[in-house]
Amino acid sequence: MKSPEAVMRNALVTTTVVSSIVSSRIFPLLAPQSAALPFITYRRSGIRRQQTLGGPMGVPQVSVDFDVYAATYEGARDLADKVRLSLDGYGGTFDNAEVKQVSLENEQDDFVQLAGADMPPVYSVKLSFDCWWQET
Amino acid sequence: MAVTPHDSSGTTFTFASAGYTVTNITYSLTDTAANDTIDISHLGLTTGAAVLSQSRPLAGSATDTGREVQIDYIGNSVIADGATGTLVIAGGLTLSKAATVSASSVTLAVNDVVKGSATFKVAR
Repeated sequence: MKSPEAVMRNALVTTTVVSSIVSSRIFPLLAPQSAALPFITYRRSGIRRQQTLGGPMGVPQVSVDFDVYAATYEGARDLADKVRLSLDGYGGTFDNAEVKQVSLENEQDDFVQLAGADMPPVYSVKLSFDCWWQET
Repeated sequence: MAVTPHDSSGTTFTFASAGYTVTNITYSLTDTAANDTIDISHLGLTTGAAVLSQSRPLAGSATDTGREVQIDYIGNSVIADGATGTLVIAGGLTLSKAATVSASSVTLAVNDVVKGSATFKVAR
């Protein structure tokens, strides 16, 4: 399945400074309870499609949030900064899907209680990216 | 039954056999032969007098067809100024005329796709 999220996830997994911290623990929407900290989840938060007189343009602008979770505030901020360096300004192709002009639009710190019986509270940073995606 | 105005979707635009992804088309028609006058009122007129006017002493350009098409499009191709060719619009508007590019521009901007704009002088 082609998706801009998959392209951006692959960019993180193949970037050593990120994968050395989270390995491949980058999950869509939900992380399994067995996932060790730190980890990252991502979700599509919006999409803007432009129409032309001849029909859809086929290159929508997609908004994707990456949520970084770590046991300490410093760990969350450090990982978020590495995600920023990897994705802000990124453009690339993975699995025949192309993403262009990824831009970091917002960051937000948080402290959350993960779901699950014995899961500890963790620090998180939400990074909101916009990117152009060749849809067709 | 009355015909509803076309919603313009499915409209295609080509110039010199090249298709463009257009987002806006404006077709303007001006009657160059229409009488146009100039105001020649002066301070010697009394309050309440009628405005004075006369025909323009100079005629417009002989090459002015009075017809123009202006488009906005998405794409990084630049339409050369002065280029000539057949302009064809099909769909919401039907037009096929010889045309010359009188103005053209392309805009590259952060966080946006590449957009262009062009104006064509169209034959009658």
